[in-house]
Amino acid sequence: MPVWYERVRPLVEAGELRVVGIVQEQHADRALLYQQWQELDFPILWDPFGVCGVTAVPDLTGVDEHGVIRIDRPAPKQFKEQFVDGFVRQSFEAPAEAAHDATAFRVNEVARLRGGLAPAQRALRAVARLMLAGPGARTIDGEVEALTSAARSGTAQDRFRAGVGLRMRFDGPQARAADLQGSIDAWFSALLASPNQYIWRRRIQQWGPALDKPYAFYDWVEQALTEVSARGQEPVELRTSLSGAERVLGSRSIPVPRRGPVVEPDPGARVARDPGTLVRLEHAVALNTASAGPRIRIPRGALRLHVVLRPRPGSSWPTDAEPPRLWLEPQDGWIVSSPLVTFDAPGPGGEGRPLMADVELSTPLVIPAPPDPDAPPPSPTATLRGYVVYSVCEPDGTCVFRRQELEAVVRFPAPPPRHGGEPDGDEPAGTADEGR
Amino acid sequence: MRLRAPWLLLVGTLLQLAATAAEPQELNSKSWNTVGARLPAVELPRIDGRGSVDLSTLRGRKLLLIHFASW
Repeated sequence: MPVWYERVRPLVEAGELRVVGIVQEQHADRALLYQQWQELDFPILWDPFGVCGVTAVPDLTGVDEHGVIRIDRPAPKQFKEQFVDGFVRQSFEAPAEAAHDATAFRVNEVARLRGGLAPAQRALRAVARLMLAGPGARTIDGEVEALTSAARSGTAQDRFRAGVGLRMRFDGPQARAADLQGSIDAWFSALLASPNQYIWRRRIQQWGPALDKPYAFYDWVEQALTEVSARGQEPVELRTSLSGAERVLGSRSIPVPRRGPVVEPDPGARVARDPGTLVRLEHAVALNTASAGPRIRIPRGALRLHVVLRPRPGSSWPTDAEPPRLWLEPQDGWIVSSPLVTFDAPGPGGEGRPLMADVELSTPLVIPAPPDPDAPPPSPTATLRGYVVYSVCEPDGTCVFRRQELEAVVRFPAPPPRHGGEPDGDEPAGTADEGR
Repeated sequence: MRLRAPWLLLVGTLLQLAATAAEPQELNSKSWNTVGARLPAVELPRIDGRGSVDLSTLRGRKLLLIHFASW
């Protein structure tokens, strides 16, 4: 994308062209940091819910001075002939008839919809309101409820949008324990119905296993922070911590268990239990999206386990103690790069913030397709067990060391039927990595 | 009293019509890729929090619209 902008910048500076970007990301602040780092001085709009309906990025469109689309996905190799001479410097006549613009989506208009709305309209209004509000202190329960209730009987798109709303709530102060898994499940459900929707697939892969990643999603953030600071600027502050899954590079091989001694933190289970009164333990599993689509790839059992420790009101993390640790006891046949995972440290001012850790697990589990294509396919499950230990301070200031058990049930989606399934004819252009 | 009810009904109907006239429509990739078609009337918020941009107001100059993600 910056390459394209570098090429068109002289046209922009000459007043011949205007550029507008639309990002298809969950977190606007990450795109804003990217804009600051790359010094992109054109307006960038935010479309986390996919109201534009694009199925893959990047997607470039050239629009003439009358608002008519004149060029679709210009070819970089024909920049001068096709884009500059054939579009930017070409005169186009105004359409003979002033075509009426269908009102597709005007965020401020939709956010103000009133009256007895149908569930789909309520959901769309929720989309608009969440986009305008962004993550913050304001309660968004009403909007999330509108999205999840529309998703129950709605389309794949409704389910994707419900996932976006749940993830927004997870990132804010009103997070519920099931929000993270709920968002991933909603996206997965949407993708199963529409496997060629690569924006939806990427949203899962962002938090999914390395084995399923076409690339690292946010490995550029550290470099951006360093380079922006070196320019003497204050980098855009990211409101949500990056998970390991978002920074890790893609891989094509099952992780190899790390060599060397690993010391289990509480082998005798002697640390006193926290029944969840001091810290709420949340977890979610992001599966390999190869499970969602007509092409079954092996191993389907690769997944990323996300664990969140959220202090209850009044509890806080001590900043001078070791960060919390997660110990996994994988079942036979499961491979984990290391059974011991250390959480992010709370950091200065982070005494009350949720701490996150994530880890990659794999299994060569093969889910056989049923012999009869019309028979209901199996939907196997697996249980991942372990525990977390952490120091936490009680409301009266007393700091204690506590343990909580972890049990995550993984439900692999049933393989899609061999024949039929919901059609999805909108094949995107950017599917070069589809067959990974 | 006899006159007020029909007026209220008319006002109510007009308000309802105004609400449905602005009913948004779902878009798809073709909405952005069909050469010769009008650019959809879409207004989205800016990522920098400085208001929103209505694409239908960007007339009078060529426009390059880039759907992308930082990843």
